[in-house]
Amino acid sequence: MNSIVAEHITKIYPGTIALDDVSISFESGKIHAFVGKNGSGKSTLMKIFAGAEQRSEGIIRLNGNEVNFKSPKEEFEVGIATVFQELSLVPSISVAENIFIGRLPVKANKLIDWDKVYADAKEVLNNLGLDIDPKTIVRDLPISQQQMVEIAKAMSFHPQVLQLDEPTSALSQSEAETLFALLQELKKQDVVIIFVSHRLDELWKIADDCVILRDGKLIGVLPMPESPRESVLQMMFGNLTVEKRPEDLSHTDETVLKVDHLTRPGKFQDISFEVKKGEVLGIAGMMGSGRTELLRAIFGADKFKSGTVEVKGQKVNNPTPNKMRNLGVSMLQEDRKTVGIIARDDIVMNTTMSIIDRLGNGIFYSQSKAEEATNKQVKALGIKLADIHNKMNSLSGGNQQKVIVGRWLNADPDIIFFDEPSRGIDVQSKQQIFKIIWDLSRQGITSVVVSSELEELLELCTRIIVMQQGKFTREITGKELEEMTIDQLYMICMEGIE
Amino acid sequence: MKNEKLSLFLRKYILYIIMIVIGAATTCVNARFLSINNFVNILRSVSIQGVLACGVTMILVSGNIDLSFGSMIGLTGVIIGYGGKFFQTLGMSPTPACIISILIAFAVATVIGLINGYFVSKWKMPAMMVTVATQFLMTGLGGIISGGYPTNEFPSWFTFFGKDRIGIIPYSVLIVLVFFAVFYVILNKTKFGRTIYAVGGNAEASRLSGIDTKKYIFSVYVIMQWCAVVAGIIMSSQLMQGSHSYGGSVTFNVIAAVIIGGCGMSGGTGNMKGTITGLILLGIIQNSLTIINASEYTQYVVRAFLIIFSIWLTTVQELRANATDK
Repeated sequence: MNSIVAEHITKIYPGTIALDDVSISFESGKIHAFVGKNGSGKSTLMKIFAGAEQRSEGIIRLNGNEVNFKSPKEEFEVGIATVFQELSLVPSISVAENIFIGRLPVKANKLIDWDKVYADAKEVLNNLGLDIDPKTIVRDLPISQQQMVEIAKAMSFHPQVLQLDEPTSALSQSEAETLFALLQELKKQDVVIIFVSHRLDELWKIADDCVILRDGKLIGVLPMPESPRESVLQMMFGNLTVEKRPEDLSHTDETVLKVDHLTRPGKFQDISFEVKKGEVLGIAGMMGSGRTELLRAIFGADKFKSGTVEVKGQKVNNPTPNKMRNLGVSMLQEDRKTVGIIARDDIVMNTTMSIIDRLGNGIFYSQSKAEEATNKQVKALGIKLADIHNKMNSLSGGNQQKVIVGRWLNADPDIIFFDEPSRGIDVQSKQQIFKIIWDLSRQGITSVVVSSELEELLELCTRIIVMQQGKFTREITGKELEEMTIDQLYMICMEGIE
Repeated sequence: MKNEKLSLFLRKYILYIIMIVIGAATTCVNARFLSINNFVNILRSVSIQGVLACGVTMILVSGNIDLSFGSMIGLTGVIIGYGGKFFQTLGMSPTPACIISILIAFAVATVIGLINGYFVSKWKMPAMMVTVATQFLMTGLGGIISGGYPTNEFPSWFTFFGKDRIGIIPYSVLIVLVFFAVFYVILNKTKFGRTIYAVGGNAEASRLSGIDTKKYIFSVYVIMQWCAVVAGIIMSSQLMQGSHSYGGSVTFNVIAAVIIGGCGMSGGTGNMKGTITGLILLGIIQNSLTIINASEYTQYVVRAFLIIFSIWLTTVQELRANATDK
């Protein structure tokens, strides 16, 4: 029997403790599930087992022996295989090459022994009961099959421990069932199986026990499937109190944005809603529910197939970000680093790039007006910086986020879309961004917020719409919203996903 | 810390230092280097490249590349020469025939620029390959129109652009100085130029900040071809001859000058000051090597070292900046 044990594992990142004195043991013949909300430390613990992150303190024992590896390669040799959430396969080469990448068998003359490559790959796949041709190019396989290949690759190392990080997040229900059948099979093969999931329903189908982490601490281990749902949620969220939003937030009856039967096949279907002037509307939903895609389509960042968007009573044909900006709509992007900022340019450029055409007379650009607009936002938003001519990448994440908020405030919007406004910023900056959103509401500027942190939406928004698999399933408002707890909202977002 | 300051100083002024060293060395060999005539000569020798370099700077700042403009130079000569001849057979006198042909050259340039811009911005095709294709297209068209033969059907006043002088200054030098001034103003003082920097810095972030990025990419490709028409006019005026084969070799010289001047290949950086410095440095090197009777091929070797060196300088800078980030 194989086992892996963590003894007093602590992981400290600058400014945060990701894992705080966690001790736990796992053994083969069982499927162990890790659960916890974002930032609970479940992925960090998995990475430490995998050797992808170094622990700050503590000991890891594999079958009683202490292990210490500096790189994921050693980890494979030691016998721990990990399948991360992002697939690590090379899409342009065959299944067999992917399985044996970096260790393709060679003949005596040092050329690759292709017959052996395919035969060995076939054997690995067969052992898992997978009917995949090893010569298939990975790109041509559906995502679910790619996931299986990834597991086959991990299993080809004959590991004692197999870790899976959210393996079902990209899979449909029936594909997930196939994966579960495979895991049940592996369970019999004396492998320790550790599995992270955010789809709670799965735990009752597949897990033998459920390890709950919260804020880097081990909260407890519950046997499955007999433990009730309420106990798991209670342990995940603890007595998390949602901060109260200010009492004075209100909105008028004027509709500023109306979305009618908006559809983008495969992403979202038949979405209709209205937002009033000054409202703070939240869109809640799990990953893959289509919330970000919906906002992007309304803003014109992506195309949609059918439906209409009306801004302040005016129908927008084929929205583009340029048209939407001119109509007073702004959008803070989720992926700040790649599509939010110009890292190499200065803060002035980053704060004013939305309004270059409004700075100066006629065709001429006025740098002093740009600096004026920058200083105005630096002051209004409390952006901490040494000099507005410094490069954007000299700022912290929170301050960069505020610069982008400032960029959009400069465009003088009536509606701002916030896609994951607190992603990658510290708690204090987060509260400041919330305060900005409330202040905007008081000035009659509407916000629509998407966040994967449900407690944020509860705190921030005056109305919440729940999205599941591309559809609106529920609207929470008024008294119901006031009384909603975080685990209730979590259940609403999770329930009935098939 | 002292080292840091020294290396910063070097990076900022290195091109000027090289210029002075080469100038001083050449003067020692032959004092003629320092004459006013020689300086005018240097400017004249870079006038065609200078006009092109303005467009190339704008293209590179916008985060794009254009390898097609060289063949627009030859095509321009062919269009003006054969176009002039054609309109004269219709009974026009030489001057209006020539002017109409010049306008046609600009129209063709506009179409080519739009084609480049269309495939690059609308279909996100690699700019390098799209513009290599249009380069072949233009060389081919020039050859078809001319049947492969050079033309010298230019009115006598056509020497104005390349040969004529006011005092000792050729008009071509004045043209390139005007181009420098205009492009300096566009890139530094207009909303258009400022937007080009934003688009080059991060095209997707610019689009999502409400900038109509396609419009700007179309614009820079068209402007690039217009610059090539002007360069084509100067070249055919200098030679009083037009051929589809002229100008092709200038492409990489110009791109090299702009890159030596500090323009990055990934967009959002570079300026006219750097481009002018790079051009003049290359002009001085060429001039010095001629004065000391070095072969043309020596210039190629020197240019090779300069390009590697200047790209190395900017890359080292970027690597260091990224290192302090993390």
